[in-house]
Amino acid sequence: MLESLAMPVEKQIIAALLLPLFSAVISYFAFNSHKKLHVLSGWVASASVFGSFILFLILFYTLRLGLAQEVNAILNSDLGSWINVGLVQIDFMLRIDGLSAVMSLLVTGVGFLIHVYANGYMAKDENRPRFFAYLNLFIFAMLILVLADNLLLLFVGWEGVGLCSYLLIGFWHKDMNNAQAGQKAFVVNRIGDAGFIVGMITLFLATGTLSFSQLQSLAVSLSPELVALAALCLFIGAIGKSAQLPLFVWLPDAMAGPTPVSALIHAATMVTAGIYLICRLSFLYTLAPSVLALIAIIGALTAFFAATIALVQNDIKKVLAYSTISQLGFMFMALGAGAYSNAIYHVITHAFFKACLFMCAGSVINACHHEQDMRHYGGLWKKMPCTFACYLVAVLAIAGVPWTSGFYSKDALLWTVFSEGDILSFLHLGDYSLAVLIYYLGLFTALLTAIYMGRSLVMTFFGQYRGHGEVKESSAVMVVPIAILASLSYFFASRYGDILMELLYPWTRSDMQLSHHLLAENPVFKEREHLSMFVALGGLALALTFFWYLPKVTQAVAKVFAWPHKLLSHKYYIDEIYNWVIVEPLRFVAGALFKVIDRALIEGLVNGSGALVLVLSRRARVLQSSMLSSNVLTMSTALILFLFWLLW
Amino acid sequence: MISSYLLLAVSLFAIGVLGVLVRRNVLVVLMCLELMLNGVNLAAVAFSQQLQNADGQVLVMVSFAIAAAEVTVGLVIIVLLYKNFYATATDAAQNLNG
Amino acid sequence: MGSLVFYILAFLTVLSAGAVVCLPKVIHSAIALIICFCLLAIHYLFLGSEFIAALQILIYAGAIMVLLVVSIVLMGSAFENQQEAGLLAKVIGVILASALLFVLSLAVPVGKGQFLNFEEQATILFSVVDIGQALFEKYFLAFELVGVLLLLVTVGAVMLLQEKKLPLPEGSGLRAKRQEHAKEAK
Repeated sequence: MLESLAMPVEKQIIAALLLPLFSAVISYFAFNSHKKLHVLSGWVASASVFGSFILFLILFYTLRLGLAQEVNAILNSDLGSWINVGLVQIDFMLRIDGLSAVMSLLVTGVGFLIHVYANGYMAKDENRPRFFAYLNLFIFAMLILVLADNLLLLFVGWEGVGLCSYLLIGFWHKDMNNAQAGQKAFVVNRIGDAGFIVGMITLFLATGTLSFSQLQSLAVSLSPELVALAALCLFIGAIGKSAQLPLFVWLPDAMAGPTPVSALIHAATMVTAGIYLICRLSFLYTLAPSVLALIAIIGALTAFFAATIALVQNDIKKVLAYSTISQLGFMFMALGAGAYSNAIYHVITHAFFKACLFMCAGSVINACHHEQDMRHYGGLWKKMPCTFACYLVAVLAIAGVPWTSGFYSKDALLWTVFSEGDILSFLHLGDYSLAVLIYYLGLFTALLTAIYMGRSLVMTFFGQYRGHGEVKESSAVMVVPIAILASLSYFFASRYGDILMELLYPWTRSDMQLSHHLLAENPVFKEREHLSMFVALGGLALALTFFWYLPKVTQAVAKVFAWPHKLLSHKYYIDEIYNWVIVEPLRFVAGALFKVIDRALIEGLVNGSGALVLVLSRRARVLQSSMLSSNVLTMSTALILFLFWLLW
Repeated sequence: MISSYLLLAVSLFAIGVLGVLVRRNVLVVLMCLELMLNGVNLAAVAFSQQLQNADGQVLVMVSFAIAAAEVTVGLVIIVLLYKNFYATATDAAQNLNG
Repeated sequence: MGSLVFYILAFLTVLSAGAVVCLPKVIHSAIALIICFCLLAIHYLFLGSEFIAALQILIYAGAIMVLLVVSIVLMGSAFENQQEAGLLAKVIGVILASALLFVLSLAVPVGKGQFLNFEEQATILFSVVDIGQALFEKYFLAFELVGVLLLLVTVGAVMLLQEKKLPLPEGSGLRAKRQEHAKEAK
């Protein structure tokens, strides 16, 4: 039955993929010319993403129909051969299965809402067409990443989103700081990409193919060391893209870009590319348990460290940035426990509430005349009620308050780490297995999450207004998308959670039962669930207490613990350390190379050869003299020599 | 005894070359050119005598004519040189310097 | 006896040739050259070429040298400040000339074949008839070309020595320059 729908399906996929690209090109080249056309670019951009979303929705239903019949149904679209050189054969092949359908819907759906929001946010910016062109280009690249059927095409999308991230972070490039932030993002990403390429090469040399379907069937026949090496290298790529320890330093700086960019790229979609990659290659990672253990450890540590830094940040966007890093750490924790579908579940719910949080922050920033420091906010719940309501819902979701989507996803995540973490159980620390330790670390991080998000809520919306100027609610074009996302982050899991898990079935472990209703029977699960609930509500209560009711106490405590406070607010001085250990030596080496090789050697050769020619020609010029006698001399010498040769 | 005549002719030629190389006066150079030509003429006549052939004599006659023509033109050039540069040194005209 | 005469004559020829090169004054060189030409004419007589000997005196000593002497007399004023070559040039010249002498003497066949001695040589004469036959029958083209050459040289010499005034372009200011130059020459 799938074959009968094959022709339109192929065209649908291609259309859905190319629509944003088309709109990007039009925006950049056509709408850039006249000021009157600038408004058009925003509408066209949003419309094209919406069109993609509708197409993907249709494809999604087609897929569901197919899945009803066989478990591993996929929709394929072959756009032709790409590289065909001897043994290397790579095609432009797109696939839609449960994972990519879910991700593409997420990308286009949340992307559409953010495009609409950006219409309002960037209304006064004169570079609007360029912005929407880049944004659409990003959607296109992300869709390539998500829909690719082989590693190389995925890498094309990977690099594409990296490029768009660079372009968009440094969008207001006249300010040097923004440009440098963009460059930092790109360079740190590149370090991860090096790992990605090594992993790709390893897999290709071992199996001769990069297509996912073929790799899946060949993976079991590879030696475990090779699989572990490839898995590790690809994970390094994911570390760079998804901002884990130690390559997370670009994400806080990326907040220099416009808020819609932060919402779309650095919260919902690009940073989840690493998680998507590991899920795609889940068949590889299940064969490399040591790498999975490493992933879980790095994820847990990242989550913890980022949460501690977020506690003391004063810039609202930085709080959200570190929160993103922390939540990504959670997702990697789940991946490490082998719960791939749980990680994707959390990706989706996180996208909803994090994008909502970022957009609310953007709304507040816009209303307070580009003020980002929370110490100058306060009492905004009266002046911006809609934004406040949405922010509140999103904070509840991220904290994991019961019945929000965040609760369901985070809960399931922590549960799988605790119970099914037998992947990690080969490592022990004393009486406790690594899985349990990671679980408790994750739980503590959840507490911290609730605390710092509550803090940001209190500092921004409660109390007295500590800033200057008049503040009023943002326009409808900005508030409506925020409201939609807020409501999604509330009811999405309870309504659509089951459908989601059904789609992601191939990525769940066969012994994991993730349907919430089924799990509710389990008493251990109930215990853990109560603990999570307690942590979430307790964290929020702590935040309210310390930052609203008793601000003076908090400040006194901060003075007592002055040096930890300093350490945290300077993000453990990690940027300074990196600068000292890596950047400065590199700069020194580059400078030395420049002075020695470039200037002395190469320019010496080039200039020297020119100078040599000049010197030689100056000497040679003497030969042509106008003196008759010297000419005669030359002639007679030649004559004598010739005769000598003739007569000897 | 032709070799003696040939040696004499060669000596005359060499002395002519010496003169062209050494002397800086244009008229003397011209005269040494004539000396060289005469050396050649002598060699031609000597060969003509040895081979009992009149061809050498004809060569010499033609050589005479050419020598006369050459001297004429050479003197014209020297006169023009003298008029323009007021000197008769071989190195007087140096406009075509490299 | 004949060879003694030859050697004396040869010595004198070389001496006069050397005098042409070495004498400091130009007019002396000219006279030495005339002497050389006359001696060469005697050599031609010894080689049985009466006609050539006569022509040698007529053309070389009689016409060419006259031309040269006249121009020496006319341009006498320029020879006062004549700068001769330095020592290095003279040494190089001597070396090269002797190298040439050496190289060319390699071509001279020494002591080969039977040649006539001097006494017998002088008895073999080339008559004008022989020369005429060779010239007008075998080398007629050369004869004609020489005629053309002489005509060209005559015309050319006359042309080169004309003091023509070339037509000057308008408004280039060269006419004024020419007049200035003419005044200076006077």
